[in-house]
Amino acid sequence: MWETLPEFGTGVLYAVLVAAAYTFAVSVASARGNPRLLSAARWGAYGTCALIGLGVLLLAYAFITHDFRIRYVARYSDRSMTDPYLLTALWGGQDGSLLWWSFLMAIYTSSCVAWMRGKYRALQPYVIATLMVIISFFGVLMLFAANPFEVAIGGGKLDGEGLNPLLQNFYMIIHPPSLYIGFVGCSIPFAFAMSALVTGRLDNEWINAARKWMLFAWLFLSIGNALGMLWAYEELGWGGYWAWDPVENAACLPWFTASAYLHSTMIQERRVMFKVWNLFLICFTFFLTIFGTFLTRSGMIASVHSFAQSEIGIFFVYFMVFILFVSTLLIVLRIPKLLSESHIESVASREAAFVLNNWALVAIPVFIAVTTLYPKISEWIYKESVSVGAPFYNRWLAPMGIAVFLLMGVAPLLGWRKTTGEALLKAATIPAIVAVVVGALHLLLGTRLGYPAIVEQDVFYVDAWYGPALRYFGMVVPLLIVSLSAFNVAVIVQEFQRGTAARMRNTREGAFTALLRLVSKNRRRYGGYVVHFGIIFMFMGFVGRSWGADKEVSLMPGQTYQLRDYEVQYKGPRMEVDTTKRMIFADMLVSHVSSDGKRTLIGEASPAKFIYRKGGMPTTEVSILRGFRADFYSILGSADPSSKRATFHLHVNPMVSWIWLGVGILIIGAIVSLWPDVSLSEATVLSYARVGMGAATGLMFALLFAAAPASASAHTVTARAPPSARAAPGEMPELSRLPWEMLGATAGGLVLGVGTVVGVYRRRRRARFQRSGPKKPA
Amino acid sequence: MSEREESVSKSKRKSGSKADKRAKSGPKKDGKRRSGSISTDPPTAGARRQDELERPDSSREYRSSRTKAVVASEPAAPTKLDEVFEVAGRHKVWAVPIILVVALGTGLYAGVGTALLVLAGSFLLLVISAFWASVQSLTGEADLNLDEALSLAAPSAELEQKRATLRALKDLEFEHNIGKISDADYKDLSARYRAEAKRLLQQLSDVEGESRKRAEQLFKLKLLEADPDARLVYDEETEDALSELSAENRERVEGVLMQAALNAAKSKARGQRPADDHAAEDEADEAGAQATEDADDDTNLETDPAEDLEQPAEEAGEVSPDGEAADEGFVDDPVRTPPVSGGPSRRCKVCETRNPLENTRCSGCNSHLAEANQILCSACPAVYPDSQDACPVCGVAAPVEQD
Repeated sequence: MWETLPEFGTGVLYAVLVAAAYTFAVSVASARGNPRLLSAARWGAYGTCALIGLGVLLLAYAFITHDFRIRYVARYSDRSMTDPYLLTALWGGQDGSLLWWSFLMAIYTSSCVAWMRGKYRALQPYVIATLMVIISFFGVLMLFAANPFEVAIGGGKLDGEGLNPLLQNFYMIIHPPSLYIGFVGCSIPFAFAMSALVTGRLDNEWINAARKWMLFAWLFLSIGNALGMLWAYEELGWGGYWAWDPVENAACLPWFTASAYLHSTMIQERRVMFKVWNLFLICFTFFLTIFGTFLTRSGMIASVHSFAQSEIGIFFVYFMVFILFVSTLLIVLRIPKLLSESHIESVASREAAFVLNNWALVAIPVFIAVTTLYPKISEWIYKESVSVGAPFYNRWLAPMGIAVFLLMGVAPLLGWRKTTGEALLKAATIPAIVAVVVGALHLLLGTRLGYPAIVEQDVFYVDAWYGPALRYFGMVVPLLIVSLSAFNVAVIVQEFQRGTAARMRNTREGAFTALLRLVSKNRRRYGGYVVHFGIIFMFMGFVGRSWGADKEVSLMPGQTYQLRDYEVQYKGPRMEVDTTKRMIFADMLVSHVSSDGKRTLIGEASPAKFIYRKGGMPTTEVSILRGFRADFYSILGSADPSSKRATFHLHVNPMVSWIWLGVGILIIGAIVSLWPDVSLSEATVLSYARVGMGAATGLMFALLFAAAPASASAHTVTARAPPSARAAPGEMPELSRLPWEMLGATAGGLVLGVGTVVGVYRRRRRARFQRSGPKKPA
Repeated sequence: MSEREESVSKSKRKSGSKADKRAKSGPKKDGKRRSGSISTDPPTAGARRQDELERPDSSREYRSSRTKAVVASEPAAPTKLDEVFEVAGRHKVWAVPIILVVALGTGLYAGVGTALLVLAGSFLLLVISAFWASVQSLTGEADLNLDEALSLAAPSAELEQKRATLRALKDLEFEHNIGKISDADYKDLSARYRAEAKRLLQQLSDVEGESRKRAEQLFKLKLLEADPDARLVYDEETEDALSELSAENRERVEGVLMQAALNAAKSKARGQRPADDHAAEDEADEAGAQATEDADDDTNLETDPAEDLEQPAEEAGEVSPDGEAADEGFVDDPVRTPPVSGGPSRRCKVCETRNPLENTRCSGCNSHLAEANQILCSACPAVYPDSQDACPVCGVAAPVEQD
């Protein structure tokens, strides 16, 4: 054992603080134009980031070597955990996750500093300085409130407490890092915004610099939230994927403001308008990432996710006040330079649609944030405890969500500056007809197919005037979403068709070539449309909840029960034991019942309860039979070993798979938009390799979301092998066995990446040959 | 690293390695020197002279504060440690794969914990090297790379506005093509955008014209500094005066003259008056005085070589310690003006005569300076295959025909 590891680790954290302070000072000094100081600052930033990396490796080493002298290691690991789970424990608790956050911040910082080489000379000093301030904040936090290398007071234990069983899940391994990547990524655009404000270079320079960073962060916010939904769906066992839990809310807040920014930035780029608004959005997005972390870490609001009550909340409060003060002060001081000369010329313009969309996208997180905090606010002001449940969010957010959904379809029909009535009519006719036709068909056939257009709702506010209004609106939400989905699909298809037709007219290319080149020449625009397409799928998945059914039933072995068009036959309970837990399964045969009464066996479901030797509380392991139309979702409530009677919560969740498919499409669209816009002469094979790997990641996630079975849950639908065959004594359930879909997707992505690299090599060789041309006479 | 940067750094490395080789090989006697062109051979001379000029020399520091300033701005002579760092820097792309392979191998052999320690050790080295580089930059001991130098030219607000306008124009065209904007609106908006773009382009051209000239000057200067063969060319009188000096004194005086020419060229490129820069002049005076003292001791030479050099060189329009002639000669336009007073020249492979860049045949032996399938660069001494469209060293486009 490395005797001085805890001290060395703490020393590294001190060194991070000192290095960040040094880099901050040098970078601020370099703002006077001395390139040598800037070079020193850049190297200082690399050194600071490497120090953080060193810290993470030391903590990982402590986990791997079971150094239980360190309190954090003892609390979140034990000797039975396999290496992958031990490494997961790095971000499984408060202290380690802060170090992990700093590590991601370090990766972002060093990538940004490397990327800025030779670019944005005037902005660089303050970008580096801002990033160093953020790193310093986390350094202070770790050193004074949550040191991951702190030694346990009672000395080293023989064994640790182990990781929470809920976190021993494949999606929990990748969900927090993805979400953190999104959260931390918002720091880079914020740093550019601060730099622009300090230097007064408020034109499009910083917007151009920050755009791709924000898009990247937004992409990972999307992935992180989707993975969180998957984790909740498969592990928490309450039948759904989103419960408006405070931590879920905290995670989605920056996603909305980042989405708003990605739209409004286009207005500034083209019309040099909304400079203040864009700066506000960037600062607000960053603020929300810190606010979300504060909600999760301070233990202020009760949540299934939140970390234990700790002292770090006050640090976050100070930092949030600091961000608000500095951002507001700088914006106010720069107001004269930020006022735009242009204005919106017509309501029928794309910028006007974007403004409406922005208001809605900012109103939603503000509403969510206030509602999330309302129980605390109520306690402080009215001295009474209240809780806000999911129905409240669903009722109030439905109108706002549908407004955004409508604007998503309308905005692409409008041109910049102004659109004449004639042009708008021409553009909107076909989508409107499609929406009306689909809406009518839904009204006529929906009930017969099991997807009614109008769904009965309870009155939420009996006494208030808006109670009935919200109820009636809620009743027609399925009809509205289906019609608007059709409208949006028609708009996107029309956009692709019109663009392709115009290209075919101008260049005389074939339809397929014209389509491909249209997308490749306008990646940002058409990548955005692909993202919209993914969002349509997600909306359809969300509305599927309106058509869902759930029932709690108690069955004896051999009994059957039918829920909608699914019939279950309970076979009986079964118990298995391994070294870490007892597992009680209840096996059921699930059949699909067609309209003519014909039954087709679709699989075997085995929901379970796991009782871990450490931890006490049994965990619920759901069983999901996935389908494109609906998921059959079963939860074991209880099983009586003597009578063998079992209680089940059965859910039919229509169209949930559409959400995961939508997220996959969204990722692909975001990658199309992110694809680097480099000329052939500037392109390096490395940059294309990087993009190839990005594409590989996107493909992997897309397939994982769309097609992977519930690999995270404990159930299996095939016959089980004896426990001894699955887990060796002293080991956790195997994690290293990745789903085949993931391996296939990764292999596909790698082939894509390698193919891209080879393609670029060939293109460059050909271009070089073309440039060199025939020999000249000597 | 961009291709341009790579080529410049390659030439720098080449220069450094040649100088090192010369320094190691010791003095060589040049039996092929011709009148009218001065050669600093033996090859060690250039290297030694550069070393002397570049080395921070405390004995020179107290003589003239201005001299100190000039000397301090030059990079220090490379030490063994610098060479190690240079080699490591050149192969740094292999560091990550090597570390990963070592960590992976260690992990397979000795377990994950040991692999993590290997990685931690690598990060520690990275920390040390990053802060070493940072401190070197801070103290001015590290060279500024081309990227950083280029980044000094931050884009102006006009440039950003131009980009926005061109993007808007592109969007407008696209939206008109797909029928979102009527013909009338398109004409109106297009005319407005085009007028705006034109105004911005004109504004940028006005602003950037002057800067571009200065950038060209600096670039030519950089080429000159990067050329290991660049030597001053003296007239006969100067040559005679120099020939009377001992080899060591001659090297010193020539070094000072070369530095004077470069400083003058730098001053001009930076937009300063060359006469303001007296540092090199002081340096030449001091070196001349020192040379005189040495010569008095060694060869009983009574004339001050600095005085001897100064007047004829100025009269001949060639080199002078304040560099005026050098400005006229090669910095303004080395492409069109023959390098009569210094600047890049091309050495004949047959007789080693130095020839002006525009010569295609050697003025000494009349042999071709390039092979049949080669092109002589018009801006630098490079000779490159005619399959290339531009000089790989300086990037100047190849002429359509060569005779």
